[in-house]
Amino acid sequence: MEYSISDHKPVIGIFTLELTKMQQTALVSLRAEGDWSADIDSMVLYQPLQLFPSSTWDWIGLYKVGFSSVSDYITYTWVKDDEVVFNDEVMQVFMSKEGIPVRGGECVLCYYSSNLRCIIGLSEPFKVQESKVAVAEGLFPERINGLDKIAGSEEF
Amino acid sequence: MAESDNKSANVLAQETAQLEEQLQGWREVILAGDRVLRWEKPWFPGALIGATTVVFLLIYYLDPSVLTGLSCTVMLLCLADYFVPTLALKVFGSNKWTTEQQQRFHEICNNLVKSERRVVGWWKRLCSLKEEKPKVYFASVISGLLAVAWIGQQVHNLFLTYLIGEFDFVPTVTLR
Repeated sequence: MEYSISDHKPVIGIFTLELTKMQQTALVSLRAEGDWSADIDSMVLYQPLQLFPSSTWDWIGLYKVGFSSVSDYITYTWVKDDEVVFNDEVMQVFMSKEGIPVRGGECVLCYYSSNLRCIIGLSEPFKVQESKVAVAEGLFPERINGLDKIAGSEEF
Repeated sequence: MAESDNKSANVLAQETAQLEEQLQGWREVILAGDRVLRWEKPWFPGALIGATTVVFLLIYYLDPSVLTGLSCTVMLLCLADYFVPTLALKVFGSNKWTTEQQQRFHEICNNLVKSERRVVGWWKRLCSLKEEKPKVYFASVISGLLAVAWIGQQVHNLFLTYLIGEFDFVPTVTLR
């Protein structure tokens, strides 16, 4: 990555920045289970790939694809609070439907470890469906001929 | 994968089903209480504030000692736990228990189970903070307790409880 800075052009300096990852490999593998939408509580499956110091302060966050920072989550859930052990390896965590975006979209899950202070697991991007309840209640503006219009508000 | 769904759905559903069974005798009362807390009729907030005010005025007037007050409260709870199921059957027995009501009752029990998990989770997190970050734990617990002690000295405690009681209803409604 190159960045050019100067207080007296045309004199410039070229800096090269290299960011090293805090963790070289993923310590946890994450997967979204089933169909996700804001209508039902959804399930996350995770499996530790290596031994890592887990803590009750670990959380799994739902992010939009292309998120820029750890605190840029849509919603999160504490790992130990909502955990159900399936077997010794794979764990399930439920994510409450209240935080899930009503509009849906491409999302990704991240496991944040509080002891290691970084994200140690990333899931594949998956699609969160639009909430059928919200659509039925006409909460979404519709696009007609490129113009936004609130569904159900115009009567002929 | 269906198996894993069933297993986890079972644990949560199990806890919810257990709670539903335990609260079976109270279900009509709980639903009625839920309707009041959600302010379904416009006079509900007024009635709620009025009832709370009457209760607290009574406590203020009677001015019981801590031990007496505590024993009386627990006694009232025990009496309610014994009599409410039988009385509810007589009062609401004639009304049919619809699927909508069952759904709402199931939702309430589900929310209670989730809230209980939250509370237990936060308690566990506070305890683990002692091991992981002892300085942060010590600083936050001591300053929190100091703040509460100071407030307790400044404001009449019964009045404080009354205010907390009143404003408890506001988040319940705004969160829905």
